[in-house]
Amino acid sequence: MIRIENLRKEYDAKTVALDGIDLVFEDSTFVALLGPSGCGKTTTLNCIAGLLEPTSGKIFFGDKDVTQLQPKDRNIGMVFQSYALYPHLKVIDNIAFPLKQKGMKKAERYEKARKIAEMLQIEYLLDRKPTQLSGGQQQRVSMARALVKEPDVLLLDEPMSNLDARLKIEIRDEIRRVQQETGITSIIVTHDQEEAMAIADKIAILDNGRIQQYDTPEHLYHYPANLFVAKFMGNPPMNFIDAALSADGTRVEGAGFSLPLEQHMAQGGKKFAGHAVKVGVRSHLMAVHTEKVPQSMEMRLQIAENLGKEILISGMVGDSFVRVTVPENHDTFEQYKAISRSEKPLVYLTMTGVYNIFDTESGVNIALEK
Amino acid sequence: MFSPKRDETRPGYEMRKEHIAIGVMILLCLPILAIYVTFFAQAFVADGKLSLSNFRFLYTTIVMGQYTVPEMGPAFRNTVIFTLCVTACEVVISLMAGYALSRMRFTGRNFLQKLLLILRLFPGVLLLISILYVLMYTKLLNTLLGVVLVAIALRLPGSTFIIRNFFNDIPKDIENSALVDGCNRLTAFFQVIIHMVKPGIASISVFAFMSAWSNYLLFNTLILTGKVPIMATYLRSLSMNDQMIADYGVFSAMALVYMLPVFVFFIISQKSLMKGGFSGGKGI
Amino acid sequence: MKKKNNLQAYAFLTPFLILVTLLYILPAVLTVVMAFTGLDKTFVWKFVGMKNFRRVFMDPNTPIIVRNTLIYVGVCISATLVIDLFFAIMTTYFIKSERSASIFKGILMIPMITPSVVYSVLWVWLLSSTADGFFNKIVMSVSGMASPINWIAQYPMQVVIFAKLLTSIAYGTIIFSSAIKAIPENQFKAARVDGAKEWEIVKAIILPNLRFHIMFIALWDTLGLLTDYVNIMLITDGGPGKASEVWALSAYHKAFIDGKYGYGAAISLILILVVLVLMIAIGIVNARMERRNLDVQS
Repeated sequence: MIRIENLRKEYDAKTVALDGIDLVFEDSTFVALLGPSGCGKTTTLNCIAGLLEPTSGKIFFGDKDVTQLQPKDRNIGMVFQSYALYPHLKVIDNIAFPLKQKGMKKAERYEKARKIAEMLQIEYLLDRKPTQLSGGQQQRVSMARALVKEPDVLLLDEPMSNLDARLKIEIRDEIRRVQQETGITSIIVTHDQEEAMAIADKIAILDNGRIQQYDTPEHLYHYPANLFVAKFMGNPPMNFIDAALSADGTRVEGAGFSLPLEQHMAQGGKKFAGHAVKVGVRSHLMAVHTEKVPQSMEMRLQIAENLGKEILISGMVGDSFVRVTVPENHDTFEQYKAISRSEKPLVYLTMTGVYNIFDTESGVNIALEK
Repeated sequence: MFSPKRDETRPGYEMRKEHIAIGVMILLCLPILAIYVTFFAQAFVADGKLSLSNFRFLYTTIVMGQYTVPEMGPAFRNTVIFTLCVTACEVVISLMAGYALSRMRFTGRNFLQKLLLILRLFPGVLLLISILYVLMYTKLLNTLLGVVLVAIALRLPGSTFIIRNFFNDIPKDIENSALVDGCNRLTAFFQVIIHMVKPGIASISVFAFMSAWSNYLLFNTLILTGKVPIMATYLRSLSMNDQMIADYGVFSAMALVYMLPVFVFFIISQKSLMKGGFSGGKGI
Repeated sequence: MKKKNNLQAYAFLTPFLILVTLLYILPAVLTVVMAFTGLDKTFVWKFVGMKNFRRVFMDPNTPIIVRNTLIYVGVCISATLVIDLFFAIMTTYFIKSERSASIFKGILMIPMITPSVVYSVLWVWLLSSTADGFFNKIVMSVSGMASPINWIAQYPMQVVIFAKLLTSIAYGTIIFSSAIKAIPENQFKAARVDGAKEWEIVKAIILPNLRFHIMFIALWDTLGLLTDYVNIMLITDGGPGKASEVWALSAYHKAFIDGKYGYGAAISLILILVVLVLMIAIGIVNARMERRNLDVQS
């Protein structure tokens, strides 16, 4: 288990890269550090690796305080964005390099290198030099080198950024497979939320040097802790509908709708009574009705598009732009098209699944109030 | 950019222009070659006949009329020692300094970087007068050691600048990777980093060698008694002697032997020199 | 941690710092001080104020030396730039074969790598004043002149200029050559499509693209011309008389031949000031080049 305690990293007393990070990485889990550029994810990774010294805070590998230890004493393996293979060494020497530093004899370390190369399906490349390899191949060599010393933790710094879309998916699955086979605790830094959702057991989203939320991909997707996370996760992005909580905090009301608050939001409703809020709901978790039904939101239908696998309708709920996707159906599509051209192009949306309410001012998900 | 090979896709007029250009270049380069060839050809002519007797200075004393040509041995020996010392020290010291300036964080880094730029551009040769004084004061005047130190010191900024740039080009990730893989700064340096600046090391070695081997001014100025002869001062004193110059045979033979290593290194390092990676035109 | 970093770094830097401080920076400071003293072979420091500078100003030879220096630098720079550009265009723009170009550039480099003592003897031999002299033989058979000329004695400046020129061709040619190679092919294609002739292409494309490189070489070579006097020293030693004496050489003569170190330092100091101005100019050109992502030296 890896534990980070109140990690801070400051540059020149003006720039704060890490603003107090607390994280726990359970053994054998795959955790993604996700966020936009400059959020502090790479800084965190480098601190874990020992390549950066934190301004304050502690890092524990198990019970051991490793904060002052050099990278070479932390028993970690790292895969870099640029692969960082040693150009003057053959692939097999690249992979065996960490073992050489440990003083292992040549025969033994070549044996281990071969084994790991096999696992990553690159044995046929062992005699080549890095410049003779493709991007994907270099990636695998980089992984092999990181894993050969059987480290306690595997760190990956945006390893797939330099690959094309098809390779990305292939390598992603490869990394996942290897991690599950070896059971090694892994931490990956990425700015691609889709990648994080696909590969990680848990995701820590960072912004401005702080952790916004640390949870499973599913929870992050459906129950984002604040507006930032909600906007970041999911493609296409979540819809946000401007509204306000009633004065007594039991209803959320917007242009053309008034919905009672669900039970798990009751406390939040009381706390943020009367506040302006945003209702966050996924495009595919709404149903469209052509007649007004109770507890629905009125939407001025502007465009209806048939995307083949689904129908996408977009329009305005109050002043907020909303997109809704429904299963493809020829008749429904024609109906929507007709409505969009009519004099009163109104449809009515109801929630069919999870939705969240965020306090506009603080961005917080009101359901977090217990 | 330009396709170097001739192929059928290039229009005729371009080919014609190329031929004309080649012709012009041959014409212009010919005189240079003619001069050198004619001069050094004299080394192979003695008493009007083709012979190698001019080269006998390599194993015996030469007497020309009443003039006994001084032995070349000491001068040659000193030149070799001087060149090897200067080259080795220059490479090692600039390697260390270049690495520090490129990869390490320390107080005064910015200041030193700027200083490096200034020192590299400044023609150290203008300071010979006070350098003489410093050597005199430290009792290193008229010594080989003194000249060695001066030669190194004046060339260091240039070499360090070049090597530092080579270090700058090494991606940070490679060094980080080595640190993660179990190296400390030192082992990372010797096992990984140094291999990546091999071209830089090669190029400054060649320049250092060629400059040291040809050095004249330093020895002329800082060795006042002729106690430490080197090839350059040796040949210079010979060239002032009328007997020697009456017939250039022996002299050109000596000059040829002297220039041989320079030529060899020149041909070896053709490629890197062509890229314009020069160290000093301000060198001594 | 910071202290440890500093210790490590300065361990690497120590040899460099010691050597450069003692034998480069210290002498630089001393030169400034020395210029205001009457230091000579007795090595006694006596402060003389501006006396050395006044002497330089009053010396009747000074105007001659200044004139020689200006002619030497002026002619060499102009000739070098033109010749270098010419050779660069020849070997890079017209000649597409890399091998031929390299061979020619290699030949051009030979004078540059020749050790000065050999190079100067080469010229003395070439311009030997006897009828057997290489150059005299050619000139006499072509022009039908009866008696040989002592070229070095009669035309010292020309000889010295020409000798220097041959050694300085290679550097600029190579720099310009790389710069021409870096010009995007499209510019040439567009010009050719517009029907431009070769000379126009040179004027409109090659020269503008090489603007900064030309500035750099002009400044850099001027720096070298002002400060490198070894060839002159070995061929004419400033003579006959002061006919080919340039400023840097006169500092050398005053200091090392006449033993007047303070005076020599003063002469050097004046030159150093000019050099500093040039260095600032080079720095500016380099900065502009960096901003445009150009590169001159590795």
